[in-house]
Amino acid sequence: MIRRRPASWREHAQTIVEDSPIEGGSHRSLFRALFERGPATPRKVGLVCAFLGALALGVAFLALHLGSESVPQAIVARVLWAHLFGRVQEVTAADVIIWRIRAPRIVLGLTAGAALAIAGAVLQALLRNPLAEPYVLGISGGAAVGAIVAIVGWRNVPWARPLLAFVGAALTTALVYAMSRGRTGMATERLVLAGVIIATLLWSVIALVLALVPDPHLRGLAFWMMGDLSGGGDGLLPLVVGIVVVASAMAYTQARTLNLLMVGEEEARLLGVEVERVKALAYFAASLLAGVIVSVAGAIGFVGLVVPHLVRLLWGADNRLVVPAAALSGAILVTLADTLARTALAPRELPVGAVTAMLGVPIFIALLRRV
Amino acid sequence: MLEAREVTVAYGARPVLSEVSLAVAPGELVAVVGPNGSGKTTLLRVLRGLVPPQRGEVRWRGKPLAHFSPRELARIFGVVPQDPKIGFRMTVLEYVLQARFPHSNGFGFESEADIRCALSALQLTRAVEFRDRWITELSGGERQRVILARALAVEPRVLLLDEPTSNLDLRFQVEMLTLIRELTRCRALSSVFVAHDLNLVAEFADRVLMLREGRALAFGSPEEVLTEARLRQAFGTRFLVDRNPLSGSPRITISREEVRPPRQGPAQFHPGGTDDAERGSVEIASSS
Repeated sequence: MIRRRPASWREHAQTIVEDSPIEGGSHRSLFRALFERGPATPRKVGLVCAFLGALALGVAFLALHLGSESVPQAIVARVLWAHLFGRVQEVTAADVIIWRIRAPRIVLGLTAGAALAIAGAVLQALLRNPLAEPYVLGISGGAAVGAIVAIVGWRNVPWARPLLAFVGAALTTALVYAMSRGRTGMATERLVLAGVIIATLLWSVIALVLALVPDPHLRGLAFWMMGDLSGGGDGLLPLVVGIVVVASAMAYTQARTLNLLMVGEEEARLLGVEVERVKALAYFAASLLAGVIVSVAGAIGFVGLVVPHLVRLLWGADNRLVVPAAALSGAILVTLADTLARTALAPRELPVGAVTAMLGVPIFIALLRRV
Repeated sequence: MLEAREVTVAYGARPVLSEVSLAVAPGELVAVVGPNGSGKTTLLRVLRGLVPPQRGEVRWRGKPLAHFSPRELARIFGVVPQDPKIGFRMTVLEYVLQARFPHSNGFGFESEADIRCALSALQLTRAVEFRDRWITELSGGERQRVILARALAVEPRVLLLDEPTSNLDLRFQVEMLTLIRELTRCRALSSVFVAHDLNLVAEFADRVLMLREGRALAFGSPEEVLTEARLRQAFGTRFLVDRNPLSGSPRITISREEVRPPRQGPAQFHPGGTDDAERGSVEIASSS
């Protein structure tokens, strides 16, 4: 099979490069470059992110423009310009609608979508299970219990809600993880099963509490359980965005090791990955992302499940591409869904979680049929 | 030089390996043979440092494996696991490129040199033409060649292979082992492979370690180890050993005289039934 013995790997590699070019010609169209198969390169990641980023900005602008009262686009642009780059001379009605009411809500929607999609992508890769996501694994349920405890117990401490939501998410993750460890080590199927059961339990506990406790502060929470962005972060928006940025960065540093874990834990270990450390980091980041979002936006299901799959169907499974692309796609999906939730039956609002599902499922089915 | 010195491993109270010693010089291809459950795969895992032995130790170039970091070990060993499952869709090239991880800083993207290295490994195993196909849609033989390419892309000093020919047709079995032997020679690798096909072992291995119930029955050249007496001792059945007329190495011929499945009732002539029984006995003999 080897005709001539090469003196070294390098020399052998050199002979191969001559007959199989790595880079294609420059004639390839932008569209084809966007969807070419093969390993993720910085160029490909940049291209995909630029495309999705532009789309996200467009959707955000549309969301500012649309609402129960549609503000002309020129005025939206002027208000934005004044707040971002200039000085605000006078506070007009448009100013209040765009900057005070809609902008925080849209920023929260973008953040929530990005965070949930990253958490889903990370958990799916970590567990090698397509069903893994914060909602299914009970992490969102744990966060919701934590948030309710904070609302009842520490109403006056603003950061108690995200903190306790994270604690709830982390405790649930640990519990589910412990439940899935059996005599024969951890099977990911068992982990998902344990998560589903714990999630069901937690959500029924919450439903019972909401039905039985006459606390007036809990009355709005039935809506919140389905996902609700109308709070716009309730003044916690900078904190939430900050935590999401940090946790996302943490997840992204593990993107390459997650690629190896995706093939298998033993295989990753064979290539020198310190599996336990990566798992701990990834679980921590996913709990943080899911917890902090649930605490301000409720449980928006489905985004964490469907968005990473969508991205993988389009661009392959390399997490260095999947994580940022899922973040941007999740941001787009949630913002679109929330805009629809605000406008479809205006002035009535729909729970955003229901709309994300209704938008996401047909897209997903279409992609599944195509591939 | 990869050395195992009187390695003993037990899972719980059940001993899996008892005082097994083995030395593999650079450029040498060692085969591990033995019945199912005799500890062959465990031995490979011990050699790789995945299972710490209760007694004894494994050394690489005189230094115990415990003194190496996980990343250093990953650069020394190329491993072909037994039938790995790959669920996510990734291309063949991406899969092989992962092997460059221990040479990287752990973050970022693979360099062009990494891609060249992965492609050269794929070309060595004649798998370069499916570099852009999904790993999930390859046939068994194609997959096996890709998995070997992944092990080679590490640029290892030691190659450990767990049944590298199990999914291959006869031609690829010979090609695969020819390639493994060539690589072992010209890159001075210390290679260890587990195999069930004793004729392949006789043809390709420099030395053979025969295991039975976790103990080393024999370690030496194929001529020394693959004898009728030893094979009978290890497998509990009769084989005929003579010379392969093409190469002169030992040729093992199975015999179905002794491994008949127990019959119920008086023997009756059933063309179909007898045929099944015979096929069963051949399978038992050839797979053990």
